Amino acid sequence: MILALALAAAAAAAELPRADAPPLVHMDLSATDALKSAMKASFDPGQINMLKSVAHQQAVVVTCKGFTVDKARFETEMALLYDDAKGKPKVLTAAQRVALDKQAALGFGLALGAQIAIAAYDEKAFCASAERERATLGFKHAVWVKQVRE
Amino acid sequence: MTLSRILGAAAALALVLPSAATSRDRYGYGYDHYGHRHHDNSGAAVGAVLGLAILGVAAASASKRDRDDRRDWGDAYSPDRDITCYRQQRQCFWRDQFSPDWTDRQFGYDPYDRGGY
Repeated sequence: MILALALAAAAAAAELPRADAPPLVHMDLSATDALKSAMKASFDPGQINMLKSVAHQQAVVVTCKGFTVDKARFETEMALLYDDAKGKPKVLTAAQRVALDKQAALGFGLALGAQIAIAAYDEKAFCASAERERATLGFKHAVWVKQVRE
Repeated sequence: MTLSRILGAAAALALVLPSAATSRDRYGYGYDHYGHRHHDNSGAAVGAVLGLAILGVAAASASKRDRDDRRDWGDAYSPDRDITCYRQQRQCFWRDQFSPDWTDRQFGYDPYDRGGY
């Protein structure tokens, strides 16, 4: 149902003329491509998507003022890496668990490094975008603490 | 500036990632290899450096005038003002900035059937 609605919305959206991606988008998509390639043997597309989203939010925290990660939300999201495609915990040996931990750390670090570098390209725009995203906080994998109104 | 931020973030990961891993024990794994507070953060640090290296290459190719590599990422569409989404990459951007919100709206994964797309 949700997928059908998303597809319908996408179909109604305006098609854009085929053109080279802007530099920032190219940088992000290149890094995302590398992340997918490095992680696809260990994690499924949804888990890789979560890794990027959470790493992006962490990059916002270290780049922009006034953002904090909710530790409990972060833990809940990262725990998804240890689930199977049906959302059930994988049965892992201790060695498999250690290997998965290392892959998670590598993937998170890769995505975080890329996002911090992207942020440095135009910090003002990066943080303005983050402020806009935080205003909703309705998206999956949101780990920021809600903004406290002063 | 950027390098110091990455090192700071890597240090933060040393605290956070083991917590993420051990949190799974609440759901019944029954063992905790971090029980002795062993923190191996080398993967995150290596990853961060790799991320920077990848971005360096991407930025160089993006700014190169006579580039021989492509920046064509396939079909794109705009579901709303200032939003651009790339179908094949399943990623959306607001004014060229990655948007987790719009990526989720357009290409959201069901957390209980993540591999089904």
